Amino acid sequence: MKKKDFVIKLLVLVVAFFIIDFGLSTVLLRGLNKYYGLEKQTEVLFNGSSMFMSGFDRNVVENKTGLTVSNYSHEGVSIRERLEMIKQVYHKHPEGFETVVFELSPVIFSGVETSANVYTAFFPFMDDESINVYIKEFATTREYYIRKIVRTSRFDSRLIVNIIKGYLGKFQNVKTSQLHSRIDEELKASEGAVNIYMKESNIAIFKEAIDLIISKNSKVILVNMPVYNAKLRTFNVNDYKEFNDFLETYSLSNSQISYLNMNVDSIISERKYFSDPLHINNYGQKVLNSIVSEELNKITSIN
Amino acid sequence: MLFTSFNFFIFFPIVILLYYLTPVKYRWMVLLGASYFFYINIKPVYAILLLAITASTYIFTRMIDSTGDEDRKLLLMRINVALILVPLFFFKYFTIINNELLELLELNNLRWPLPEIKFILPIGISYYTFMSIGYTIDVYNEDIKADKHFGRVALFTAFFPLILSGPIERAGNMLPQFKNLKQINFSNISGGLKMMLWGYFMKLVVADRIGIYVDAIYGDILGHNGTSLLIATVLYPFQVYADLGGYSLIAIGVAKILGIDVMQNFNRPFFATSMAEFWRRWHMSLITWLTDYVYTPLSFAFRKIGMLGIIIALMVTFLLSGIWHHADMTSIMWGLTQGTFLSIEALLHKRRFRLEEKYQLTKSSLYLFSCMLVTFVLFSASQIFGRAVTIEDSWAIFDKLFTNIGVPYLDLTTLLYSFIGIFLLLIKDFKNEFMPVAFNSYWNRKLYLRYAAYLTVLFGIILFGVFEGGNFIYFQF
Repeated sequence: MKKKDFVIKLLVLVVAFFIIDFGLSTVLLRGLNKYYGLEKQTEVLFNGSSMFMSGFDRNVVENKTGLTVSNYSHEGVSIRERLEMIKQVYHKHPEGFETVVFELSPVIFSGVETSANVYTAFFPFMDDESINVYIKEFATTREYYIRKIVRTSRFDSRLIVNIIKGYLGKFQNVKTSQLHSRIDEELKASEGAVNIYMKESNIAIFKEAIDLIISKNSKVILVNMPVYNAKLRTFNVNDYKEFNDFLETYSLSNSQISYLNMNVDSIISERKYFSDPLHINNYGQKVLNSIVSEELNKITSIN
Repeated sequence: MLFTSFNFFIFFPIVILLYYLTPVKYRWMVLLGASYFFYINIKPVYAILLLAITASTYIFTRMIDSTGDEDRKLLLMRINVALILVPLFFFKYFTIINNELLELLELNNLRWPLPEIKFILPIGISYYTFMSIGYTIDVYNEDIKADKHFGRVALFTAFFPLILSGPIERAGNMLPQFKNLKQINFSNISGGLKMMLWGYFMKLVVADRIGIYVDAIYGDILGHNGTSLLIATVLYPFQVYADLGGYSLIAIGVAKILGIDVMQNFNRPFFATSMAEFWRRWHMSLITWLTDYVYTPLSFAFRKIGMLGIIIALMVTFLLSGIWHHADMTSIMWGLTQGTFLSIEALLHKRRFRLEEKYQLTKSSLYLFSCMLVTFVLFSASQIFGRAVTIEDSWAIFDKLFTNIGVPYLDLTTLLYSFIGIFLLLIKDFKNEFMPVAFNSYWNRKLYLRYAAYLTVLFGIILFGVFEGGNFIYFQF
């Protein structure tokens, strides 16, 4: 092979690479937007973490309420990412949503149990100004510029699964595994041992997110997601009361906010609804779909 | 610096550029400088050890070459082999022996004078030790002449594509190439890049993905049932193949870009129809090294006792191979298992051959497939000793495999990607094994088909690669 031939072929390959990279990343981003329901303006937005991902099937909620629904939730996100997600969706859809369903869990203000590399889930959206600023804060320079140059590198295998689901339009929780009976015994040992911290900084971020939603004339449903009762009992009783009281008081501070506590006995005492103590399975999802749809119907009928 | 690290993608293009801009006469200097820079980048102090082994090998091979006295030659060869082996033994086995002794003495209320010391095994020490020993023995056997050029010998032991995990090359192949470094050849560059691309696919997409599942299961043997252990046990051989095979392909590709041909390390091992054939296809550079420098001399020494001599040679060779991997009971069991399988095969070889002849079995696809399956099952079972941390864990796994059946641990995404990766790997191997000229994508005459193949693999790596997968498995050896 001659030098000239080699150089030409290499150049053609590089050009082909970047053309395909652009095309493929566009297709992938479209699929991801479809998965979250962000490709179009919807009336209801769900925003949360893995609890919301496993908890609701937006197709079912749409059928039950007649409202269009998006579910922008990602596993491992902390309150900080949640604020970024809210900013991003309002930037993308400035007209806003009628209602935002906002996930809460006892540890949301504690600042724990979030993945260290959760920012990688937002690489696909780095063309969005606010997400770009957020990513710059967490990603290394190398990570950042590789993703800027090679667009497909913004996606990873976890996101590909969601993209496939997005194109298929299937959002049902397929997990049918249920909690084992020995879980009660295992968790009993740490009853009351887990503290819930109400960190001021995290509460401030939470309030900023809610204020942003309200400023766009959207209603907010704060959903305290169900935690299997033996797991719930591992939290310090006084801490949990303080957490719950805070949310109840906060929701009363503004008529646009309502509070839905799903930690009710009929759900949290049923092992059959949980795939693990924090996450709902397929059977539990059906129950949660109905409850949240009912709440949405209630709110829309008031309007 | 690892092949999968970002730094390598800066380092290697610079090396290529410098290499081809330098006059041919001085190119060895670029390669030697690059090799030491590559190695020093991992841990600078261990480069001294590499240099010392190189110096010892250079001096002794020159002395062996220049003496006519056979006894002196033998003595010099033995001294150098012993000298070269000292660091390997020290770093690999000192901590283990010291700990065992400490424990033993403490049982008798005695104190061992040396405290508990833990040494980190210098990366690549096994590989440059083996290559240096091979060179010394080859000079002793007069298969090759000792090279008078210290720089070339240093390059042979430190050549950066091979130093971390092989292939374990022979001086007879490498030194003449270093002596006559080639002009730039764009077909070599293109061929090398293709190998590297597939090597990265094997490592990042297949090996590291499977590793997530295998690590999760083998990391908590008591917490998982037999079905999960069975899946992990079946997956593990593919992980090692994709990991070391991928690494080897990258190394061979890197060398090829520099115009140097390096021996193949894997040859579609899962299509082997016997354990003997399997070991001719798996980690070939290690096995041919062991065959030439351990098995052949041993079987020659025991030739008078016939088949028993072969069995002893096989058992000792694989026992040494096991101990080389780790000085613990699991590795010893691994070596003995391989030796046993091969010995049984050797004993039954004639009978099997007669049966195959009589019933024309080698023409039956079903028979060949059954043989491949049995070979795979035997190898997978033996790899339980290769992967389990302790011998107790190994027995627990064997026990659970047959008694603790249940719903497996389902990390669906990982399993799905793992099986797709294995499927693609096997499809490619199948095509190369049985239809080497058909459906050629990488080497297709049509440019657009070749490009489609490259880009598919490249985007496969970008989208499905595990980039935080960590080291290559064989670095630890």
